[in-house]
Amino acid sequence: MTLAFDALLAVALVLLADAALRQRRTSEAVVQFMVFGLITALAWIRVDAPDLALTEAAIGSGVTGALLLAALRRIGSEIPPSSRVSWWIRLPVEAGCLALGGLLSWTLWTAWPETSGLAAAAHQELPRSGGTNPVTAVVLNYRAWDTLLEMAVLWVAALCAFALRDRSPAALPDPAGPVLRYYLARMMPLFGLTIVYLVWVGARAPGGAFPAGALLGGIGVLLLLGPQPPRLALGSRTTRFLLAVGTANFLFVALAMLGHGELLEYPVAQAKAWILLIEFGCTVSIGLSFTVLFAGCAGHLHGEPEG
Amino acid sequence: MTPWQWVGTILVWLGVLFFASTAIGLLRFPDTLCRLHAIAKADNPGLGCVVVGLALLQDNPLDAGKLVLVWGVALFASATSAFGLARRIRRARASGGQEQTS
Amino acid sequence: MNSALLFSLAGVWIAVIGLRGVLLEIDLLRRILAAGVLGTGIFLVLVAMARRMPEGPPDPVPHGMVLTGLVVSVSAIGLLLGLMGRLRDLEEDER
Repeated sequence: MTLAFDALLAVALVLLADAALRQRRTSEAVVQFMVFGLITALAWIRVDAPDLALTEAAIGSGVTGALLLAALRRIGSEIPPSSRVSWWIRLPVEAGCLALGGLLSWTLWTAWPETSGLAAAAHQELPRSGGTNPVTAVVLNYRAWDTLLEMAVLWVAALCAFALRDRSPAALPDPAGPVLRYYLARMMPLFGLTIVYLVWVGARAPGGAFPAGALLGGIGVLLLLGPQPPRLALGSRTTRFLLAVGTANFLFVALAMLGHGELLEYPVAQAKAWILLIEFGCTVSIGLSFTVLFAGCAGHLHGEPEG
Repeated sequence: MTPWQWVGTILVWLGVLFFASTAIGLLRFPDTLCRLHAIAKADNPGLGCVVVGLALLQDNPLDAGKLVLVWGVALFASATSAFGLARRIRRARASGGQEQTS
Repeated sequence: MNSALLFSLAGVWIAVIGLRGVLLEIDLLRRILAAGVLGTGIFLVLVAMARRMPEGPPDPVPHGMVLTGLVVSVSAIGLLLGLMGRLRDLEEDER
């Protein structure tokens, strides 16, 4: 029974992806892509990846959707899908892609792996890693280096968004005026609580810095669309500090561990505390980076703190 | 299954019916404002029935309370976004009738 | 045939659809959408492979990779959209 549901979900995902790229109007393609993201969140749950489902639900329709819609608003164009590529380019590419898909499917079908790989080692070391959520252990302990560098990548992306900003920042739409003001005023405490809770509970249950950061990014987008949008300026020390705090905090902890052992080698008893400290910094930076990316697409990034 | 579990399961199926009606409404209604009306059916009775049904199926009353809180938050958000959408449509109609129908 | 294999096959075809879009689309925004679809397809394959053993907990290592990968792919899309906006501005300046 559940296999039938999974089959339906998998087929729906493929059809959605294809439909999204075949839409005649770009606005419809963007909306279908957002729906595709939401249904992917369902797929993550079906393969037992709840942390991914949380993050994808906040990102797929929230942040990515906002980015795409903001960009669409600036440059809406209605070129129909792949209509102007000559057939002697299109046919070989389509044939090649079909062949690639067939080859990969056949490989997966015949050579489905049965080894446990690193999973056994990951679960075995879990008690010493500072928590009971294996994904958090992987992201912030076993593979902490990768995460540190990814935070740096996010920081660079936000800086590039500032570099690419509009010369004359546009006014943001205020779609829901008084109702949105009421909503934000009532919901901000709950938003704050949810984000802190998501980071805190990530040590022992699905959650962590990344879903919380994605949620914070969505909240930032909402604030920008609200009655008093925060002014995101490259010259503002607050903006620069909050963008950098994720990477800098992480690097600081990494160096601090040099006194005890290697870089990023937490003492077992303190692992949870260090990981939480890193996660809170990362959450802030992820959220602000997403908000900055959205503001860049909407044309609302400034250079100077005061206008 | 206890009687509460029967009620819960039936409520979840009732909620699914409401969601189905919303899907049909989204496809068949001619106009964005009518579609907002259809979406309200998913957010209000649809999600409500699913949430109350699931809450009845929980062992822990705290989990049931959390589910109802989810419903409340979703209602609040959907009301706000419906207002925003409707306002945008009214402005678009007032200034020339160029609303996106997608 | 378990559900993990199903989702990995779906991921392969979603990635292929995305790849085709990246190679063939003319409109920049559509190409960015296709890149996003390609990324999601690849993530789907990775996470489905994390569930390759039907019993026991899933392999957390691909989950960790995809979790950070999701966030990075969003920032890549945001950057691409920013570049696209600047390209349009420059094209308009030329006219």
